[in-house]
Amino acid sequence: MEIALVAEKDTVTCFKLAGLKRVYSVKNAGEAEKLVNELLKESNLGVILIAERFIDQIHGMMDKIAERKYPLIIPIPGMLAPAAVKTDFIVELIRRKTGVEVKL
Amino acid sequence: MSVDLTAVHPTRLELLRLKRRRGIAQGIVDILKKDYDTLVMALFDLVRQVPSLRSKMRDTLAEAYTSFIEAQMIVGSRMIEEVSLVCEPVDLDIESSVGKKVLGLELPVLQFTEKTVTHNPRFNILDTPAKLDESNQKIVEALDYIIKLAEAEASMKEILDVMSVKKRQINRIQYKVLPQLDASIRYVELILEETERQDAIRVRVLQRKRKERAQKTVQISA
Repeated sequence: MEIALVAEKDTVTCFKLAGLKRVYSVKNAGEAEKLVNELLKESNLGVILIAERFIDQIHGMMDKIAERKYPLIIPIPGMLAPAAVKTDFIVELIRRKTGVEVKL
Repeated sequence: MSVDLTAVHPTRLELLRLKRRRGIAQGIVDILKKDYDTLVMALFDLVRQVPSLRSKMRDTLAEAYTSFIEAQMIVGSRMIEEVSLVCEPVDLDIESSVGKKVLGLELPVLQFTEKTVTHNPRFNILDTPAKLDESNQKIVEALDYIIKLAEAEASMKEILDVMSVKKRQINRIQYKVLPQLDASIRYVELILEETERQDAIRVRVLQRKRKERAQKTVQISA
C-alpha cells in the first residue's frame, strides 16, 4: 500500500526530498477536497496524509472515512503555522459508533 | 411487550421449553456483555496511545521543518525545489499483516518499509547543505510515527465495527427477546393456574354430586 500526501507547496517539497512518491501540492481547501476525493477512489492507498489546515474545510470527510477501512486519513501539521483542528477523526469515529465522547 | 399468543401452546412442556430458552438467552447476553467490555478495554488501550504518538509526530515534524527551512536559507528555496524535482523517490511502502488478536478479531499491523536502499546518494551532496539530510531523516522518522498512528486508527475502526454489532445483538436480546419470553412464560403460567383452579372446582363439584347421589340411593333403599 502506498502513502500519499496532500499539503501546501513547502511541505510537499520537504516530503518529496525525503523520498515520498505520491505527493500533491494544493493551494487551497477546494483543490485539496477535489484531490482527496480522487485519491479516495484508489484502492492501493494505505494512508493519506493531509495538512491540518485543510481538514476542517473538506466536507463529508467523516462519512467517507467512517464507512471503509483504507485509506486511513492522518492529519499532519503543515510547515506553515499549525492550525487548530476542530474535528478529531478518532474522537468523532468513537462518538459515532459508541456514543461515548473520548478525550485525547 | 406484545407476544403472539396463538403461537404459544399453554402446556407444561411448553413452559419448560420457554424457561430453558430464557436461561440460554440470559447466558448469551452475559457473554456478549463480557465481550463488549473486553473490546472497550482494547479500544481504550489504543486510544491511550494516540496522544503520545501524536505529540512525537508533531515534534519530529517540527524538527524536520526547521532543518528544511534552514537548508532553504543556506542555498535558497529555488535550489531546494530543483533538487526535489530531480531526486529519485524512495519506495516508501506500507505492508499490512495480522497482529495481535482480541476475541478472535484480528487487528492489523502496518509495517513501514523502505525498499530501495540506494548506495549512491539520491542528490548531489556537494550542492546541498547537510541540513537537508537531517530534515530527510527526521521526515522518515516522523513517517514511522504516522504509520503507527494509522495502525492504531485501523485497529480502532475494526474494534468499533465489531463493538457496534455486539451492542446491537445485546440490545436485541435484552430488550426484545427476553421480554417476549418473559411475557410468554407469564401467559403460560396464568393459563396453567387457571386450568388448575378449574380442575379443583370441578373435582369438588363432582365429589358433592357423588355424595348427594349416594345419600339418595340410601334414602330409596331405606
